[in-house]
Amino acid sequence: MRMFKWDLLKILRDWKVRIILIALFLFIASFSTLYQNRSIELPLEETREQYDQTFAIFNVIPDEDFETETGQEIYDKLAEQQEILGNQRYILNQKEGNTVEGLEDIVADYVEQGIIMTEHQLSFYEADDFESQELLISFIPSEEELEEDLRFLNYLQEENVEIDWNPMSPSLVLFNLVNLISGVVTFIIAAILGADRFSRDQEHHWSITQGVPLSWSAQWRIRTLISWVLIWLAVIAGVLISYWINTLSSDSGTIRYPVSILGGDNAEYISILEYSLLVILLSMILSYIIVKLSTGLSFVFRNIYLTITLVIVIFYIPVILLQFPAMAEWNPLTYLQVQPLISGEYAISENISVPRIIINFIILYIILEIIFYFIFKLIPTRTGKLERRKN
Amino acid sequence: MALDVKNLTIKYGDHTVLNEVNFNIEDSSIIGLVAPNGTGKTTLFNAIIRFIPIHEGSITIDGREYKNSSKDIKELHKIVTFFPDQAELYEDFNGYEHIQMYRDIWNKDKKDIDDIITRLNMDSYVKNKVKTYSLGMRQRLCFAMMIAANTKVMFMDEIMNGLDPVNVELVSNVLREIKEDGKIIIVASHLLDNLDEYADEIFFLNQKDVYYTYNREKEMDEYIKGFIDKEALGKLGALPGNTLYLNNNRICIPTAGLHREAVNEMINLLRGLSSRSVSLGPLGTNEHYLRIYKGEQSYETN
Repeated sequence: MRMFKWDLLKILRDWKVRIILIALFLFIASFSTLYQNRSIELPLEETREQYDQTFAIFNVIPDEDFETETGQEIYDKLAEQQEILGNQRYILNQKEGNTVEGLEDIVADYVEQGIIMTEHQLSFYEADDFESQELLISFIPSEEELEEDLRFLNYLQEENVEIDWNPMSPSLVLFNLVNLISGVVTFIIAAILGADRFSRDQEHHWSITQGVPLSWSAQWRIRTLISWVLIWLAVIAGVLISYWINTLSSDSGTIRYPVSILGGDNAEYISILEYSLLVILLSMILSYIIVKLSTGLSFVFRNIYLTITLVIVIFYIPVILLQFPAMAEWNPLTYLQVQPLISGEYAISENISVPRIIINFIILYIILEIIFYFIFKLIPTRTGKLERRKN
Repeated sequence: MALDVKNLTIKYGDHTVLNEVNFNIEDSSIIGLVAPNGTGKTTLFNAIIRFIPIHEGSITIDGREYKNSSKDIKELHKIVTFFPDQAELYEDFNGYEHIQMYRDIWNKDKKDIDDIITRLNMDSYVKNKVKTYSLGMRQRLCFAMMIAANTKVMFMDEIMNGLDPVNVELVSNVLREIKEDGKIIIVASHLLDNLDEYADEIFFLNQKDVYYTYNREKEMDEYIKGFIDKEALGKLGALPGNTLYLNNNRICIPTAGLHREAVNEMINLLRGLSSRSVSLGPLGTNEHYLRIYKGEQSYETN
């Protein structure tokens, strides 16, 4: 630890680092107020479309098909759906949400109504003896989509959470902010902060930093840890300030609001709080690896632009690997983008789990340690070369 | 046996800079390392401290050979320090922090750096940012950093650069003080007369090797030393073999083989012809340097 204090001071007195960290903090802290769309977007169009579709079903299915027992049951369910959608459409059209006087009891709970409609639609897939079943289900979402919707609505009901229409609600802003942080922003900041941790000393302070009785790998770990801690201090402080600012200007929404993670059979809903903690935790682990890579590369290259470019290129490796899904699933480099992996945007998301992501991070870390074990055996000479020890 | 270098060979590509260099330096010694620019002084330092790859040879300190393993190199760096380049100091740090940094890194027993600062007359500026320092202030700071590191072996490359005569004397005195702690200090410097004041032995690098070593304590051969114009040389008569005629009209006549009367006669003769003082004594580093590296007008009689 005898080097820690001095490496920390060196970083903190670097104006470039100060500016980057302050800019990062300000960007994140002001994210909700400066970069978000403030208008509330109620799903009026979607409700209108669903209402019209339900209406169309009545018109296209022959009346005699509704005469059977199953047909009658379907008819009643469709009618109930149309009534719900009609009421929602009216309320949303008033642009007053749940506050339309005299109708509070009708639209008191979008969640319960959603569950009723989704369960009805799912039951249509089981009505095999209904003559126009094929025609009927062509008007409604797929069974998988309905099941996912039902999981979402059930989660809301179990947790007693209301649907949040307000994109400016603190929880939804937090959700977007966490997604932003876990993406290329972290890579860029990690790349910039690590990119001259060694090269600066090699170029400007060579005679002072050579011959320190501490191995290059130990110095690598110290410098990585310092950069990583500083980045996350700025990020976490920014997120907390951003969330606090949002709570001042908006009273709707809850941090228990559900978001879907992974996909396929693995898909599940967790609260925004859990999602944020999970994504931030994974991003912290991944960003440590990235800062470590960037700092290590700064030992190899004295050109910071080259180091930054290489690190950012690495961020896009998963996009290439996903062109070959069979290989991607088992390749640790696929796990370099946390958010799309967690939110189920990648096809392989269906087959993975959080422990598997962490295991792949550990594999990446070990690979990095092995590569730099050999690199740190080289001597960084004053002329900017890395030379092999000969004797 | 303290620092023992054997068969050290350094090459840059196909060009051999140092070839099978051998020397041994005892504890409590200050060695002056002397050579013209580009002869390999800094390369020798860099090789011993393993800042550059060495092709052949071994480095042994206190009986332990430091090989090419990460562990050995780390151990080597615990006991050897290299004089920092004053241009490479951290401009946004103050002098005190630099000294503290070297103390913290090398010196676990937390040597009191205030004593060092006072001894080197740095109290008035040590708390200022380095970017405000003059060349001499920076040089003294680099020296203070080495003292704070307090390692057994110290390589002082161009240590007197930018120092005024008072500070040259101060640094020379401190060097003499610290060597008493059993240290091995190797100083590369072009202030040759100054080296004679504190160095126990001088190594002259030439032809890719330690060409000549000179120990002023053990130097027995006496010379009559004076200054004489080239045109007046003939008035001295036949000069003994190995007489040196060096730059700035400096002449060094060996007394070996001459009778006392002949020596006195030569001194008196030279005094009459010399524009400056004439003295009797062994050759100094400056004279050896001019002898070995052949200044523009240097020559030696057969």
